[in-house]
Amino acid sequence: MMANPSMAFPKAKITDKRLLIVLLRGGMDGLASIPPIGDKYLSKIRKDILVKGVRNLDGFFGINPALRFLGSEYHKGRAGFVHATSFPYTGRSHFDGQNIMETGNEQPYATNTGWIGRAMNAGGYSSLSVSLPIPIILRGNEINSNFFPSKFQKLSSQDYSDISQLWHNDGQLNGLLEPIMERDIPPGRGDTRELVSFAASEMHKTNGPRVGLLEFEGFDTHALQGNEDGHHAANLSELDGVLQSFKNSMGALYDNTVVVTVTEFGRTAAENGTSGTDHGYASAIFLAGGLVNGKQVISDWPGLSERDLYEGRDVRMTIDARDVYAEVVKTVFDLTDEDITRYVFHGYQQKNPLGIMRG
Amino acid sequence: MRLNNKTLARKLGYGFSVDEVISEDENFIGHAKAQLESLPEFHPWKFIARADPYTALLSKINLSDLPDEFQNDLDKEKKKGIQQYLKAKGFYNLSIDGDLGRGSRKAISDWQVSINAPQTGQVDRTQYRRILLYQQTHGSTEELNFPDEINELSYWNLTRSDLRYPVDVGLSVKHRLELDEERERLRALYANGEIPDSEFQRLWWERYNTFPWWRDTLTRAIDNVHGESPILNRFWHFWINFFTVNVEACEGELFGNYYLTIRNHMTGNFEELLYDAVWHPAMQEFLQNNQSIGPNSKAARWRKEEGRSASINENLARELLELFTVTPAAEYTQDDVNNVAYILTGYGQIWDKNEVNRKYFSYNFAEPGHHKVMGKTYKQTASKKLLALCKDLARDPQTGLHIAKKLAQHFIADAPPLEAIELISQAYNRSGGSLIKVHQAVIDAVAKFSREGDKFLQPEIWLFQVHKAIGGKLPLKFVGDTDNQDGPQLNSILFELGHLNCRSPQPNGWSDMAIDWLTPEMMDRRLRYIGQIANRQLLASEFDPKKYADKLFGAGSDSAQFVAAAPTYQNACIRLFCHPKFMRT
Repeated sequence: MMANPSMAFPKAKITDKRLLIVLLRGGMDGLASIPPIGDKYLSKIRKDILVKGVRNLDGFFGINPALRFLGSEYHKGRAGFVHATSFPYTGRSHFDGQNIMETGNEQPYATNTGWIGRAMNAGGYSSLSVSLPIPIILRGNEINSNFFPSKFQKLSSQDYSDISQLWHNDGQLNGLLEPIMERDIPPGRGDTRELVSFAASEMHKTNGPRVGLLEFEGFDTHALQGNEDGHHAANLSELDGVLQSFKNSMGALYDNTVVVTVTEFGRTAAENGTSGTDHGYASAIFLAGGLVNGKQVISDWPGLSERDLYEGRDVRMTIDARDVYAEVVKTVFDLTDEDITRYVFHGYQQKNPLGIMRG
Repeated sequence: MRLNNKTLARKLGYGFSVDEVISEDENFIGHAKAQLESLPEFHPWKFIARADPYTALLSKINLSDLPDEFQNDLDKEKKKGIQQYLKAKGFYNLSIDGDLGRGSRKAISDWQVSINAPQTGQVDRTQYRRILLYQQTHGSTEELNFPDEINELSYWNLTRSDLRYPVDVGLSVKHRLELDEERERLRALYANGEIPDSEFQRLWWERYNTFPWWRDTLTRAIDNVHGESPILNRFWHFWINFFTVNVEACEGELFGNYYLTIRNHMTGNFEELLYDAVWHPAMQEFLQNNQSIGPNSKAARWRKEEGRSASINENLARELLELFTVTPAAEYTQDDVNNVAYILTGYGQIWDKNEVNRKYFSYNFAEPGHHKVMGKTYKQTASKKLLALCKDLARDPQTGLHIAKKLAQHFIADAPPLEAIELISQAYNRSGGSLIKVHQAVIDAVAKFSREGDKFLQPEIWLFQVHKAIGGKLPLKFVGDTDNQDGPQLNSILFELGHLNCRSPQPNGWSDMAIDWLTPEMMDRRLRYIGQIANRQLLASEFDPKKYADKLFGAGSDSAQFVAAAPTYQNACIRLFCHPKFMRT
């Protein structure tokens, strides 16, 4: 049952840390976003889609020029990347892969709750999902709320207060309208920058959500992926702009915030016959915000020669994505290694300390 | 306390309209049970002419661009369409040649007599519109050659789609394969530089977006709100959700036939339903069993020669045990799951043109040998094992219990009384899984153990109950009084309400638990939706929320007075349809 909002956020457990999860659905291409310019095989297996004008990060890795904001944040120490990472899933199915990236289980459909939801539950936090409906990754926590602009027009405050009166004595419906009445929801589909500003303003509130979630689609670039221009770069550029808006909206709170991306898998290392890439294995994770121990690309680079690739085609996973996410949720929700094993990634123990978070 | 018939109509069906008379003297339970004993022909589109917005759309067909003597100027395909119409109506039995000669003119004259029109032997504009309507509501593209004008009816290109649920699984598979071929053709054209980049991107996505899930949405809505078997439909939709497939993971082309296959078992047995749902290409593709290859099969050998690996995919196997039958309570092991996966290898091979039957089973992919599941060894030939397994699983008492629990959760309460579950599972076990008996037991259990207000309505059922209440008008396309009020189609509305049937997030289907639906955002959308439909002048002239509140809550009751005291028409509709008593049954 939905609890009364004022009861839902136990004050004792609230710290100032905020988390923005960004789901990149479709399988984001790590080789296009954070190209390993030091790997001589990259330009051999990619032609049309080879990114030109890559900005240098650490000499071996560079960043797609479409990620202008993230690139500059990297050099300021407020963004970092993990490369050749993935959940341990090699099935190349969007459906299973997205289920695994959201549930955090090794098998798809093994549970109805998500790893962030369970982590929040363990820490006693609330979230706001800027999507419809609430994605699985946040489920498992009773104090979730979601937001998405509606095509239907908002009602008058008179209508809302009538219904709120009507629902007042109902155990299940009581308290559901108050958050809506307090929010100023823009009509229409709303662009992602508006959504993220909205999420930021909610995350600013004293009793507001500590976790926000945004979803991006369109990374499934089987054809005409493009390079520093084109389809994939346009997606990256939109993401980059949204993250910049988020930083601006968060203001000083950004210092106590981490933004982290999640995608279901990377893409094939080599370009396919339609100037695109197919479903692969490992990809990159982007981290940004004041809580990030930035200016580093953490990677145990597996290499792009055919024998180094997984099944001769995909970037091999050398860092389990759960290691990255475990560090993120431990920092944000003040969880222990034991919490991770018990609640977040069932039975999993972090293999390598990565040091991607501050403190 | 005995539930009254109005409450039963809402608990077991889609409620009642403002003008409908629900007599408390009637034996509702008896009629409801009788409705489940036979399977009427599935023909939802015959109701469509009664849905007003549709007729309004129809009137938008622009025939004025056609010349006066347009019948003679119609091309051969369209003339064939007229002949096919006359044939379907029983006025014409000569060949469909597109040549409107003496026989056709005689048939047109005879038809004109039947519709009280002057006998001219020539189809005039109004009459041609009538034929278009018929083709739209009954026809298939292949048989009837839809004229392009039909597209005026919808945002969608209807000429490309059969608007019925296809009876023939072969035809569905053919359409599904044609989609793939079209994509391959595009790839080739692009590779040869015959399509520019900009066009390729557009065409590619257009081909990916041909899933006709919108057809299913319209069909469900029309049949639930206007159809004559709402209770049968509730059970049918329960099983569609029990055997969920999701349009994001498999081609919607396969759905119509899949749903129809499930419906055909509503008067049969669970074990046959289970078998037919599991081998169906829609389920095979959704849980990717079509990619599962027996490691010792011929296909695995061929792949090994090419340097590729081959293995099983245990998705469907796991769900067959966990969601469809015995549940983890049966304490099966990973070995059991693997062996079910071996038994499932070979199905879903819609690609293998050499060795297929109508179950799309291919020996080439099947794992040879005997496979042991939960203590029993299956030694049949590969194509016979699955049926034997389904029968055994269906007869396991855990399966009956699981099904009884799911049905009770759907119809009675999120945490149903144990007696209700017992009543249903006994009916299952005693009848050997007869779905008529099981469904009738659900009706008994509802009558006996369900209390008013126990069950919070899922958005889709709530939406259909709203539209049933207001007299059946459905926003097939939401046509407002002004352009500004024009709204999204029904499928967008259901998506906004969080419950678009074909997009259930997980293989366990849409939740029956109120807690999964009770979020501020989801509830706000219900309020806004009512606000939007109530804002239309048309509704105000046809539907009286106060009258309905009196009927539903009882004249003079607090709830009815609350609706009557509403300051505006819109507010009265919101007070009615978002009343806790309307949102629950």
